[in-house]
Amino acid sequence: MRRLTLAVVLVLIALPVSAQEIVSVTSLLVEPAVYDNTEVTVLGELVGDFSRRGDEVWLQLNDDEYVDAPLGDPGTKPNGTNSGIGVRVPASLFDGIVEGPPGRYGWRGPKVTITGTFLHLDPALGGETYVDGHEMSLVESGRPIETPGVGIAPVVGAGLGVVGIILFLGARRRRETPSQ
Amino acid sequence: MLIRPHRDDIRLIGFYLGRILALTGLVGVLPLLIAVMSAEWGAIGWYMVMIGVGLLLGGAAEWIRPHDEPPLRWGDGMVVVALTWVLIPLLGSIPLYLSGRFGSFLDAAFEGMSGFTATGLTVLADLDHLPTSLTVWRQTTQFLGGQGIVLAALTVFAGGGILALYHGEARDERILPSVTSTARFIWAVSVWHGLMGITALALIGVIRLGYEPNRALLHAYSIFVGAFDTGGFSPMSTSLAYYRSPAVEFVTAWLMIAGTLSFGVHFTLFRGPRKVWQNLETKTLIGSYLVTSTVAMLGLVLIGSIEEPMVLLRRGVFHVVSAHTSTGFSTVSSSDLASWGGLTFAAIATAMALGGMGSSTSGGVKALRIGLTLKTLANTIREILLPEHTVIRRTYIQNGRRQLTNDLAQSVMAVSLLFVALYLVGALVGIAHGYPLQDALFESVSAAGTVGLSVGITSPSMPDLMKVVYMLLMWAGRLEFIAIFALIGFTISSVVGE
Repeated sequence: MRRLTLAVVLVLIALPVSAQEIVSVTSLLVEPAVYDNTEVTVLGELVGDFSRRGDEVWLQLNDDEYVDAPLGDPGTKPNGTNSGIGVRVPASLFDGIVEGPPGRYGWRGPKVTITGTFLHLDPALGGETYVDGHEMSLVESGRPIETPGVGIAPVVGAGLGVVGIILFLGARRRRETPSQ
Repeated sequence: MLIRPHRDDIRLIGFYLGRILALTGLVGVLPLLIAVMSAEWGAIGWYMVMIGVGLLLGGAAEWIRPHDEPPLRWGDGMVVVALTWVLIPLLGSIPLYLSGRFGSFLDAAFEGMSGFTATGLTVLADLDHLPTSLTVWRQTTQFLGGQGIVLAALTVFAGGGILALYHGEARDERILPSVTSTARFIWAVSVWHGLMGITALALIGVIRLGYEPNRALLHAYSIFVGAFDTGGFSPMSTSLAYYRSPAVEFVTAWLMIAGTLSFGVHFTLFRGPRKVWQNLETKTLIGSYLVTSTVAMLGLVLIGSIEEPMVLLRRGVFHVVSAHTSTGFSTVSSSDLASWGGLTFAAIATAMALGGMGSSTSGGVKALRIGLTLKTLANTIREILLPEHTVIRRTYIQNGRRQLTNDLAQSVMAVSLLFVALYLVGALVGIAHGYPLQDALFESVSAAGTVGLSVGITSPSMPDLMKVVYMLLMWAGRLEFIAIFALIGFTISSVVGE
């Protein structure tokens, strides 16, 4: 009974978070007037660099196709360009949640949800468009993405290069040989 | 009567092409080394294949080299340049395609053409997870293209007819007595700005933005190349908005403006700035910057998008500078850019169409042509208004007083009209594919002016025909027509000549 009660309490605590509707980055950027100065929750992968500036950290959050199907995973193929937005969070919040590097080549960055105020062309920051986050939770830790091995391409390249050099030297030799 | 080109002419063209291809391929050693250092083992082969293909074509070209090697004629030099700018982007696309980041070779070739012509429009998938070595290669294509591929080759090998190659790349200014010394001066200016720009940006990256030193260096190199060679490729998908830093934007604006100045102006500035301000080209460029910036900011105020003066300056002026220098960096999303309709949109599109100075790394019609066109129009109006037989002085100042002859006026107006035609053709193709007139015109001007700002039309899902048309626009816009006309003439005379 105590377990059931605990489960109900946990569900109730989690409800406000899970009930928060996730807004896509595309929606924010295409309809900024709708969301400007309102609280939003975004979900996506942290990529690029963690930019620490004093007691805050600036992040780049992408919510494109590559978050769940990064190029390199089996069966994936190019599927459009990236879609991302800047997020500012307090360093104390960031440090307690995010571990490991941001998403880069061979690494799918941490997948997080961030809740905060969406600010479009914020005059206080010289016209930045970003989410000023105050809540953050880790959905999935970063993980390696399979990258291609050396393969046969270097051999092909070296072969072509050697043939090219032989052709060059052969032509030079022919030119330098006096004609009969 | 058209004269069919002699076999030796064709062989000489092939020989020069092969050499330039081999030399460009060898630049692939740079990303190759970075791939090794970054343990990007799969990428090693991408660059080796490109280097191998370049060497193979270069080696084969030695076999067709004419025995007595006559000097390269003017027309043949132009053909070499026109073909170089088709073949080099294809060669440079090899690593891009092998990386698996493009849906087709056409997409990779589009990216290659956009890079080498220093345009900056992109159809790359998942830029934010690109291997470091491929980021460096993609940025380096802009450096090679912005500097001039043929110019790069000129610094390595010199021979008869190199003047034609130099002019073919839309450079008409010899700063020093010989073309080779001029080419080396251009490299010296670029290296100087490179050292200053990369150092400043890397320091900002480490100290202000808190990046790891190696990442700060990668960003600094990428931004420098994108700005100084007015290419606009960024290492991150959100362009300069990624950095959220006025300091980065300030240094970038300085590099963009330095890139849009002709190398002749750089030479004069090294000796003292006095004469530069008198030049028609300088006056036109400054006037045009002031007008387009003012109109852009007025437009933003009118639509109520931005009201605060500092935000106006930062967003409005930056985008006009980016457009006018034909760089294409952006600090807002393409949706924001598209929403800046009316005056702002028109001002940015106009800035893209006008471009920077001649003999610089920028694209567009160019300031001197605009200045001369306006001067010709003013003279015509004065002719109408003043009494008959009044003598009108037709001169202009450009490194000294020069005559504005009818021939010069006609050729300037012809090139300006060709640019307008190019912008319209691209827009029509966009409209035919269902895009609104305003967006289609903006994107077309961006491609033909080798700018790279986008309202969202350019993407991997764009129709193939539009990709091909935009590639042609970038090619024609970069070469400014003469070399292309020479190629068309050469092809026709090869077929129907006697």
